[in-house]
Amino acid sequence: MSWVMFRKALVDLRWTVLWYALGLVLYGLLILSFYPTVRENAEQMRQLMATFPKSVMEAFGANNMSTLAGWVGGKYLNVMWPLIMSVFVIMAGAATVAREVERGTIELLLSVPESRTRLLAGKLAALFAGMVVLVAATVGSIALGAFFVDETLAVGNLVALGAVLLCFGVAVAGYSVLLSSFSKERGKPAGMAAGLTLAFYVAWVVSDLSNDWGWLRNVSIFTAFDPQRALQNGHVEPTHLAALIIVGVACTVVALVIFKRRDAIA
Amino acid sequence: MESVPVKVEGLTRNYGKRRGVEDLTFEVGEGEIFGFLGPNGAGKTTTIRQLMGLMRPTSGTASVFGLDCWKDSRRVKEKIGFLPGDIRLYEKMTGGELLDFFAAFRGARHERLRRELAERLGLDLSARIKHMSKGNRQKLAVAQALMHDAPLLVLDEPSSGLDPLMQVEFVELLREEQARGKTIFLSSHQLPEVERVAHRVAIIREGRLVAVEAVERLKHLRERRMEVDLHAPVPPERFSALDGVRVVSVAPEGKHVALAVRGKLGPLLRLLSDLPVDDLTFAPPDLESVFLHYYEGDEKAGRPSERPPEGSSEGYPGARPQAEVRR
Repeated sequence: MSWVMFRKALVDLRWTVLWYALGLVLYGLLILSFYPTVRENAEQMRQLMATFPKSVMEAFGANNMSTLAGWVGGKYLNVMWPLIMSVFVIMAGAATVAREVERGTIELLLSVPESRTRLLAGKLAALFAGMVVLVAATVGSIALGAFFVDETLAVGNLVALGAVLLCFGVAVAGYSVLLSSFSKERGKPAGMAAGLTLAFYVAWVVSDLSNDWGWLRNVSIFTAFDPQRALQNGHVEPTHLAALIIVGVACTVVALVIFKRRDAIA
Repeated sequence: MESVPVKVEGLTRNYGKRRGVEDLTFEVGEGEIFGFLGPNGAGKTTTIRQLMGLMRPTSGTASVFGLDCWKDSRRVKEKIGFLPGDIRLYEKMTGGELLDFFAAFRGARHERLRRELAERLGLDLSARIKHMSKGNRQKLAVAQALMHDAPLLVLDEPSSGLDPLMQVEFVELLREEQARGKTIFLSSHQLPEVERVAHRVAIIREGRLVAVEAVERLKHLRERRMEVDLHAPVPPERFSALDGVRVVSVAPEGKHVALAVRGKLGPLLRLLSDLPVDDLTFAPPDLESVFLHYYEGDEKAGRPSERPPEGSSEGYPGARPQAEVRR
């Protein structure tokens, strides 16, 4: 990995990461600030939820909303968080190669005595560092919010949550970088990665609504993404985490190979 | 040979239907300033991109100091200071930050060289690149290419965007670099620029190498246009009688003569000093006249060719004699 490239990429991302982290913290605290009201009206909430089919509620990330984990999951972690995180990861991931080509800076960048693989690895390490900061901000804000509303969350649950969130980011970053590695402008890989993420989400929702479409569970990264369960009882399915990591790492390796072999011209 | 700074053999690059370069073969000797001359779109930048390992050749090879430009790209770049043709820099950085960034990849900062370059080029390194004019960006990119003290400089259209005074300073810088033992590969579409500084020139057109010539030889081949205003008519035969002078046109009253001049100027200047000359313009040499030289014989035969004249290469200080010519 090129440390020079890593430092520059980190500097380039710093303000973006800061604003996203701030947004995630504020949103997390906002959601938790409403939890005391939900807790006080837990019975009515349960009755309300019971009026919807269970599969529909689960498909849209809302179940057991009278518990803290259910409330945070339904209102934040299951849908809103992956949306926010995907925007950051897709934009930053799609920029890694394609924006250098689009802006024409690739020629000068590749005139340095450093291999393409190490240069891209430096950028990817900075992207990973950015994701770690955002996940830490998310988990930290939930822990802080829980403290303010007199709820206790086990450290193990928070660590499990962090692992699930980070692995989701790794998977999305993987295919975003892969799409960027052969593109000439950032818009295309960003659009394709966003479309792919949406397709994964739709596949996951549809798979829950009908048994006929149950097989779609096997092709969606959202199947392996269960932050609410991690927060509830600290449980993570190792195969789910492994699946997300494999998607991210495999796509990244292919991206490195493509970038090494492609024409680097604007 | 290990010591050959640049060696290109049968280099071909296709872009599908678009033309790239085809079967280029030439060498650049150590300590030489080598001009790479051709009109826009001829294939100069495509060749340079292959030297820099930015593109893989379709066939053939390019090597720098014996290292393959594609396979050993990282080590090749340790030996090159590079100026791209289309300058695109990181807009948010200051000039100083940009130089720091590129220096950091090489470990050594060459502080004194960097400071001298900034002073001579009149660069304000504290300014943000997004606020710099095209000329200042070009100067910054020139400083970036030269500051690494690399043994080979690959410069793609380096004087583009520089004002005339800065172009003079830049030529002086190149001469100093060459005197310090650097080899310089310089592409341009402007014949006068290359003539001023290069020892030898490769001429490329439509992706193919037309010839590799010593600059002194080139000066004998190309024609320059001269327009002479006279306050009394002069028979055009007086001009055409001179060796290397061709009368292109004569105004009806014989007071305005357009000439094409090739080779030594002395006899023509002596004639002009005896004539009633009102005014005179002498155009800089242009590339087209050089191409005409190579093509005119074949056009008569009804087909284009890049066959060069016999004995087309002359020596230059510190370089091996060579006369590679490819179809």
